[in-house]
Amino acid sequence: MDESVDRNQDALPADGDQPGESRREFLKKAAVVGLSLPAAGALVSSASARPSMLIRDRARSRYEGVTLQFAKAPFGTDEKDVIAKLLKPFTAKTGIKVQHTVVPWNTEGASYATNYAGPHPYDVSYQTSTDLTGLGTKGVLEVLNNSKWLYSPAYKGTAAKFIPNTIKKSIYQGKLYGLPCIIGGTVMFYNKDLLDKAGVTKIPTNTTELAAAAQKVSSAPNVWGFQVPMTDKDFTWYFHYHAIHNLGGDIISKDQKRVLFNTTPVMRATQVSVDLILKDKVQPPVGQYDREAGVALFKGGRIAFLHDEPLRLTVFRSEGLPFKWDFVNPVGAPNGKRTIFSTTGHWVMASKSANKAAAWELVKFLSSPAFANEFGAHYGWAPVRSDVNTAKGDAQVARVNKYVLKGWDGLPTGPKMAQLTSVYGQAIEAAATGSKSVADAMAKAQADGTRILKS
Amino acid sequence: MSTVSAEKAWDELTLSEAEYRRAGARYRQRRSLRAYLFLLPYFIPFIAFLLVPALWSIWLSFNRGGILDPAKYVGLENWRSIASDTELTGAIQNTAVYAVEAILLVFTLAIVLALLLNRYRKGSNIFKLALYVPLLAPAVLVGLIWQFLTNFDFGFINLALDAMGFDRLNILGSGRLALLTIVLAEVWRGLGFWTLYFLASLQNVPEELLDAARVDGARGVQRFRRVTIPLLRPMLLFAVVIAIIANFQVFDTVYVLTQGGPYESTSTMVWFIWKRLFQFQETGQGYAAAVVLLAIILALTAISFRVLGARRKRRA
Repeated sequence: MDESVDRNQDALPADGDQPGESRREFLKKAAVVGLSLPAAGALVSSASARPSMLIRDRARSRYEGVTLQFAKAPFGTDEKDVIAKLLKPFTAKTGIKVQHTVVPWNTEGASYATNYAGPHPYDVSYQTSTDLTGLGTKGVLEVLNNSKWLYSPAYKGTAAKFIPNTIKKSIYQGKLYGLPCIIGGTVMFYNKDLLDKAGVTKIPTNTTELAAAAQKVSSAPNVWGFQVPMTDKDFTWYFHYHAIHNLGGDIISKDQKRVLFNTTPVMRATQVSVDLILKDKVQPPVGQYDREAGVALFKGGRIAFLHDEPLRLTVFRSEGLPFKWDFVNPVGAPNGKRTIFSTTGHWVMASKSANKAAAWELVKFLSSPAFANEFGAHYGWAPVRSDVNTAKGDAQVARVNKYVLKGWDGLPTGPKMAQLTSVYGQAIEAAATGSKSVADAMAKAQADGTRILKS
Repeated sequence: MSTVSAEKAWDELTLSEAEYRRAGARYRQRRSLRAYLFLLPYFIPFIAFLLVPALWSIWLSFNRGGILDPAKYVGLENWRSIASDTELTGAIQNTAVYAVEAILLVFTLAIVLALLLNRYRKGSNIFKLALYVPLLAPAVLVGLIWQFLTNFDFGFINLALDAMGFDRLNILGSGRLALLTIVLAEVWRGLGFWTLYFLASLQNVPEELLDAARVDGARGVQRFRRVTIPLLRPMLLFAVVIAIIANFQVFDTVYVLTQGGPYESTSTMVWFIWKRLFQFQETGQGYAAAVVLLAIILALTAISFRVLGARRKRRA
């Protein structure tokens, strides 16, 4: 019951938001309702149906004919269909049509930059913490943490349901440019059959144990012990950031004025990853397999441990892998922490949108349990609101949520974060290809990062 | 008509020197105006889509922002920033290596194929078509084809190496091999165009000159070196200019195949510019790098034209 109340609150404009209807329109609707009631009386036993009909009609009359442009980099090839299905009730209730554009991940920066530079930008889009503030500080995104939107009287109750850290990590210099919607998280999948065959009985919990277990399983080039994206184009930094946190470090200072690439935690964490390739040789060399090829190898039974995102859960389950598999949270540091890192995803509104009120309705709906429960469940993302439950009885997603919500340590958002994380990714790539030592790669990253922060 | 009246009439028609100059100037003006009117359909888009954006880019290289937010003048800050960016120096180096390798390879192969097609004309249309088809393939398809060729497990190159008893190569994981792959992909794509270009040039070489050389006892290689190459030189130099301009702007194959990796080893100038402009919204730095690229291309073009001009002068 509570959930349905929340769903209605989020999915529809609150009563306070309703524009006044003309007397004529009201009388027309009243006449229609009045005439239809006797006929429907036999079917409708409860008078409680009437308010919801009225609310629906009011919302429809306000937004009838409005089409919002919506864009998102996809979590899967089926995402457009998934979103279309989940948006149907929203369109039915509000009359707002949503035109969905799929923006590929690797060109999202370019696509959004050119789109937001134009006169008719996407009304609503999805932005990760790395890109959010870069766009926001340029004035193309609507600031949401004010009394007009997030803290409006009608939404205040719902706003309190957001996990405080997700809001905190998404604010830059007091401004929130997007409403957090998911915590991504990463997990480590493993092939039980391969581990059994190699006599690995304990699932590793830290990097030392992982290296040892991977060595036992590995018989390269046919079977590799471990695989994680190692190139900047595959967002390698995203899969390594938690390892720095596990050692108590970070890539940027809390005030975001200094980069910390040449600090011990960053170098130690990177060295561990590099050793798996160059020293232990339990992971394929950089460039031999990209991220998708690595996942394909895992699906083909040639990778023992695969560090990737939980969105693979749906695919692995639907495809039915020909071996026993499971997953755990990524390994921690020996004698250190075991955190999970992810960027948060955000729904944003364009400051130039011609339909801001309708866009806000869509953002609210996308954040609501009506959408987020099923969307999060489908891709295995952890929720950002206490009233959203993405597990819905799914034991595996429930485990992802448990891991993420317990150990999540998010990247603070900032205008230069996309560039800085790319610098970190390039440094990992340089060290993992053997082009530079870890120390040299991080020294260059430090110099590049410092220059970027100054520019 | 009497002689006197005819002379009088002639005098009336004859203009003074000053009047003649003025009339001539008016005529030339009218004629030039007409010519400029004919050129207008070219000049309007040239000014609107090339000259103005080029000048605007130079201006924006001294500013921060300009695409998503208003431009703010920052003097030489962007120029200082890219000057200390080792990725740009690496990108210039990669682009130069790529351009030299690609141009030398494609021109050598294209001239050889053009000579063969010029000599053996029977059924040559099929070969011309086969050579030209890769040019029609979109870059994404070219990238996919070369990804399949270079794949570690099932790529043709590695299967062949395996069959011959050699170790497989991590082609896109090695900086040198990855750049070479881009060179080969672009050579494969451009070979048909340049073959047809050189074939057309070869067919313009007068047969009489070759016959005369043959009568003088020149062998095939000598005829090629002493007759064909000198006659092809103007076309060759023009081709070099065009190829330099095109190859210094290589982007799509890099984007599809390597995205600048591994570790910046295939990062080219346009890739660097694209990343700064769109990926990171560092528009000022992107424009500054674009101006550097423009300057490099202009300098190389000027050098080529100078060489071409010198040849023409000598020939004159």
